[in-house]
Order: sequence, then structure tokens, then C-alpha cells
Amino acid sequence: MLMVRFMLIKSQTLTYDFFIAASILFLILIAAFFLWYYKMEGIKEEREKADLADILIYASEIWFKEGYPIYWNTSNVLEIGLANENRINTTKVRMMEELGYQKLAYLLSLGTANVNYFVYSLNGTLLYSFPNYSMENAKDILVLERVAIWNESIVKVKTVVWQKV
Amino acid sequence: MAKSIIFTTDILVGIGLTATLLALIFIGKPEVKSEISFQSNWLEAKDIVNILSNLKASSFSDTPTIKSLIENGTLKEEDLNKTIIDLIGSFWYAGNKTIASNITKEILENVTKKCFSLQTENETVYSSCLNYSKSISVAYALTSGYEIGKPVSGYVARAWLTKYRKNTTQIIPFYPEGSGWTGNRLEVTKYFSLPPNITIYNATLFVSIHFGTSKSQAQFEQLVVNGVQKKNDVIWLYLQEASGWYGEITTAAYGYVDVTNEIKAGNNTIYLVIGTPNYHSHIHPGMRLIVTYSLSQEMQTGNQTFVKRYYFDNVVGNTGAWSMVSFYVPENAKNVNAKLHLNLKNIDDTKYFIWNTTDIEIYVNSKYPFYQDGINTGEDAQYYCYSIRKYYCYRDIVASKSVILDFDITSNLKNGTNVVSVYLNSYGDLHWGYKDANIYSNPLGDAENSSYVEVSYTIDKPLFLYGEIDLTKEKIFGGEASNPKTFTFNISERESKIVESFVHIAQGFSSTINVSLFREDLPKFTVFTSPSPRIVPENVYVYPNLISEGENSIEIVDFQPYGGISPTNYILPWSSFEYTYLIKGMVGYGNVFNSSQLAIQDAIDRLIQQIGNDISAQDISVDSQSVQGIRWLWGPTFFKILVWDKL
Repeated sequence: MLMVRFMLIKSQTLTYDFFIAASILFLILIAAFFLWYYKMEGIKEEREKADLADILIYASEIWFKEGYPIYWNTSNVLEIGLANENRINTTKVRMMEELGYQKLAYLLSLGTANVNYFVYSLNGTLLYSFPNYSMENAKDILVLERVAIWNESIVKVKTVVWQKV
Repeated sequence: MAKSIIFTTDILVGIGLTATLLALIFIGKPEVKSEISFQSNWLEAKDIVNILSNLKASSFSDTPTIKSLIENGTLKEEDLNKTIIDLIGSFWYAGNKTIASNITKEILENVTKKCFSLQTENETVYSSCLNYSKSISVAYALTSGYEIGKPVSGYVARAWLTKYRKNTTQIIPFYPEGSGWTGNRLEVTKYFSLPPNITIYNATLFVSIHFGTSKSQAQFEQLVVNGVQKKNDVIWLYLQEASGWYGEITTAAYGYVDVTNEIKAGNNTIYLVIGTPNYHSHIHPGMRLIVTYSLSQEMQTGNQTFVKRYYFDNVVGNTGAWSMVSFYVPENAKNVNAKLHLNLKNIDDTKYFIWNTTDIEIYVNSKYPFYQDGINTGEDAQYYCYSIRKYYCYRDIVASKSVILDFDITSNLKNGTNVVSVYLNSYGDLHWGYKDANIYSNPLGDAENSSYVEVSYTIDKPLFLYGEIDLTKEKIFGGEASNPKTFTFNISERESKIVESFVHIAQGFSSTINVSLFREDLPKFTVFTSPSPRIVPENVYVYPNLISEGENSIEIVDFQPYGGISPTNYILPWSSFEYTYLIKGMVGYGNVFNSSQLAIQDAIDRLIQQIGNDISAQDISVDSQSVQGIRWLWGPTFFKILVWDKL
């Protein structure tokens, strides 16, 4: 009678079925973990891209705003902006070059990112570029093309932001 | 039994949770790419709005549509200085939608490779793609537009008259008044004054009298205008006989005489002497002097406080004398006061047995006496005669007296036409006494001792404002003599701001009168009814607000006091409607011109056109301003640019 009771208890926990079920569960959990891990990596990458996109938009905006002071110069500029009266101000563009890339990067809060500006006419002729940095070792390149007024003509302003490898 | 343990409910729930977790991991992927795309489209839309709102049309003078518009002269140099959105909007709201659409297409298709659409007020000016994406970015521009061909900067000017000369009409009424009995004379002297600096073009005296015998002009003794005898120059237009109590014939006559050469600026006098061998001679309604003249005036504002004196004519009757002065109180008058001052001379004081009978009787807007100096009323005079022979009432004549009477008649006034009648030694068809009763008046030489009604009142706002010029005109009824008589006339838009108006009643014989106005949109409105028989004023005030632009009608009816239309009391065609209306003597800022001189000339031209032929400018003030950024014709309205990715 006692023998019969022992057999009954053992068969309920350590059966083959139990082991099979537990194995399947572990496999699912492992698969779920790896999927979650890679997903998190993807999200991180997207977030970095989103941050870079914010930088891109902010960097492109300088061609459309006046900055501060409105008529800033290289010694008093607090916020960079290359436009006056809704048009690109050539003097300010020249002063941006005088500021240098490091100061520009600081004013744009680029962090580890880099920026390049290209201005084209509507027929595609390159009119202006700054700072002409090489993009050979670039990753996460984002490009934004906008239209602005320069010398009473429509120009395309291409802003390129990227990370170094 | 063993297999069933694995697929318990717990296991199924566990698998479900795991599957949900996995699903969430995949579904929870952030949409960074679509966000960037939306932001990029929105920035592009914003940039396009910036270009449309800030770039001038001249920047696109090489695009096919604008180029052809320049070549055919539609677009002028000043149009090219406007922004592209102004140009597109002006064509769009002027109905040239194809041009607006083409300009948009030609400019924006080079600007972006994305799909875009320019819309305004829920209409699409141009769309580069037929199909819309689920995600569309929108940027707005609020603008108003100009009219093609009009400059957006330049000079505007306004002008106003400070001194002018106007052609206007003045009507001087003779009040119905008498009496010259059975061969005795009635003498009436009218003293009046015209403005000093006028040039008289025409002066016509209409004569309306009851006198003579059977259509003859017996006892038409004097009509002296400023010392010039004019009685033989009267052209009689209407003669109507009537017989009295005793079958005697007299004549109601209506005529006119040209007195242009006699009437002068400043003080004037007209002296009339008439009589009738048989009955009672007097002036009938409709006797008036119409003077048309030009007058120089400086621009001024109308009064709000009025004190007007209506002087009686100087009337000497034999025997007895009577006169009926009419005047008006506007419907919007406040603080109205009126006093009656009478200087009455040579009145015979009469008695009937022991009773002091009435020799002076005054009526104010009523058939009941306002004042009487004896026991009886005028209506009862016949009962206080020892005998009556040829309209003469025999009584005891006690003495002769001259009196000055002053009355406050304010409480008896009403809005509209008021009538004050004064009778001395006479009433109706009876007279008594033996001396020349006189209602004395000489406003030119002895104003304070003259007989008059003085009315004062205030109105809330001036009759005319600075910049407004009053002109008075008269429309003669015309047609045939009849009773009743209806006169229909038109008031033009130019004449529609009427501030004063009167009906001048011309009659042969008269009894009791009723004057009404009506229009298509106005039921018949009675403006005057005689308070008693023979109270027919020369003029009746018409509320100006009853007259409006377009067709208006006046109806005059002479009726018997106890009912029925008087069969022979005709309203004569020389009755008239007198109206005073306002013309604006200033013009506001007009179109924009490239020079101040052109703008001023335009303002002066507009002013001269506005004041018309009856007013000539003598001194014009102008004000010219330079203006910038004028917006014409349309807006403000929203323009919106939609940008989306191609599908």
C-alpha cells in the first residue's frame, strides 16, 4: 500500500512530459531575451538617429533665423543665424567662416556630430559650401535639403550631419 | 492522463504571456523615420511660404506666364514689386484662376520634388500630385492682396470746400389775411430781408387774392415791389367767381408777376392794396415770392439752438383786419418755447347793449379761442349785432384802442405745422367798427414793436454738419386744378438727405384742408388738418423722414367741416413742394497716385463732381498723405502650403 503511494507522487513531477515542457519554456525565454536585446540595440540606434535628426534640423535652421544679437559679429555672437528679413545675409555667411568650424560646432551644440553645408542654385550648381570636411569615415549620415532666398533668388540649402566612425 | 498535465490552463496562460511580450517588442519599434519625414515636409512647406511671401514677382520675370503678362502689359513695373503670393492671390480673387495656377506651378515645381499643393479658402490654386499621402505637412501664410495695376505706395489726398457759392431757392410766404369790405381797401405790406451777398437769378411773385367783381379786376389797386408798381404786369392764370349771401359776385384770382428786376439783396418791401365792391377781399393761400439766387458762404456747422421769429405782415383792414401766421416745430425739437407778441392798432371797442363784445380774438391751433377780449366768440358774433347789413354787424362803438399783447403759447404748440390766427373787428363773414384796424408789423424798421411769433427750441444734433451744404428747391405740382389733388414726384439719391420740407398750398376758395403723404411703402400719413374752417395756412411742414429717395406723393383735400369734399374749392396746380437737402462738400482719401500733385488733382476732381452744378467751389482745402504698403481689394485670407511624400 505504501509502495503504491510513493510511485504515484514521483510520477507526477519528474515525468518526461515535464522535462519536455520545461525545455520548451526555457527555449522560448532564451529566444525572447535575445530578441529583446537586439531590439533594445535597435531602439538605441534609432534614438541616436533621432537625436542626430534634431541636430540636423537645428543646424539647418541657422539659414532661416537671425541669431542673437540680430546683427551679431564674431566677438558677440550668442546664437548663430544667417538670415535677415527672411533672406540669407551674405555678410553673416562670411562671418560664419570667420568664426571657424569649432566655434560653429559649439554654437550648434553638435556634440560628437559633424556638419557640412552646401548651397545650390535651382539648376544644381554648387554656390557655396562650408566647412568642406571629408566624410570618408562617416556613419549615420543625415541630409536635409531646404529652400531659401539668397540674393533675391531661390537656393537649395543642403545640411549634412554625420558621426565619425 | 500524463499528457494532459502539460496542456493545463497555466501552461496556456504562460505561452500567451510570452507571445504577447514578443509581440510588444516588435510592435514597440519607434517610428523615427516617419517622424523625420514629417518634419522634413513641414520645413519644406514653411520654406515655400517664406519664398512666396518674401520674394518679389520680379524674381520670376522669366517664367512663361509672368513673362507673357509683362509683355502684354497686364503686369506693370509696380506689380513686379509685389510679392509672389500677392500676385497669385490678386489673380485668383480677380477670377483669373488659370493664371494664378500657372504661376504657382511654374515657380514651385522647380523648388521641390515633393508633392505640394497651394490652397486658399478651401480652394486649390495648384496641386502637383493627384493623390494625397496619409501624412501631410501644412504651413500657413495670412495675407491680403492688391488690385493689379494699382501701386502699393504713393500719395492719397482728400479735399473739402471751405468757401463756396450755391444756387438755392428761398420762398417768402404771404399769409392768408384780410379784410377790405364792400369797397374799402385792404392794405398789406410785406417786409422781408434776403441775404446781403446774393446774386438773384429769378424772382417770381405768385398772387393769390379774393377781390373784385365778376372776373373783373376792380379794386386791384396796388402791387408795389420796392417802390415799383407791378399791378399791370400780373399774368392771371386762374379766375374763379363766387357769389355771396346777397348774390354778389367776387373773384378768386391766381397769377404771377416777374419781379426779378425789383427784388434785391438785403431789405425788400412789397405793398398790396386790394378791395371788392361787394364783399370781403383778402389774400388766399398760395401767395408767395420765390427767389432763386446764388449765395457765397463759408463752410460751417448747423445750429442746435434755434430762435425764430415769424413776423406778421402789416395788415390794415377796413373794417377789421385778420391774419393767419403759420410756423413749424420739428418732430425732434426739445425745450420748445413760443411767445406771441401783438401790436394791434385802431381797434374799435364795441358793445352790444350792456355786454362788452369781442373785438380781438386769437386762435392757436384750435377752433376754440385762445384769447378774446369780450363776451362772445367769433362764431357767435352774429348774435351780438343789432342788425346785419351787407356783412356789417351794427353794434355800439364805445372807443378806439391800440393794445400790445404778449402771450406764452408754448402749451398750445404741437410738432409740425402750427397756426396762429388773429382777428380784429371781424370774423368770418362779419365785420364791425369804423376805423382802420391794423395788425402792425415792420420787421425791418421796427422789429421789436412788430407783431410776431417767436419760437425757440433745441435739437440733439445739428441740422447739418461741417462739410455739408444745404440747398433748397421747389417742385410745382402742375396738372389741373382739382379737389382732391395728388402730386407725385421723384427724389433722386443725390437729393435724398432732406432736412426740411414744406407743402405750399395754392387755392382759390378754401374751407378746411387736409394734407397727406404716401409712398408705395408708406400708408397715407396726414401731416396737417385745419383745426377749423378757413384755417388754411400758406405752407404746411412735412416731416423730412416721410420723404425718401424714389417716388413720393402728396395729397391735398379741401373738405367741408361737416363732411364731404368741397366741390368748388380747388387745389391749384401752382401748389408746390419745397425741400431742403444736404450735399457733402468734402471727399475722403481716394486712389493712390505716384505724386502728391496727381492725388490732389484727383481729390479736387472728385469734389467738384460730387457737389454738382448748383455749387461752385471758391476755396478748397486739400490734405495729401504719402502712404506705404497699401493693400487693395481682397483679403485678409489664409494661404496654405501642403507638402507630402510621393506615394
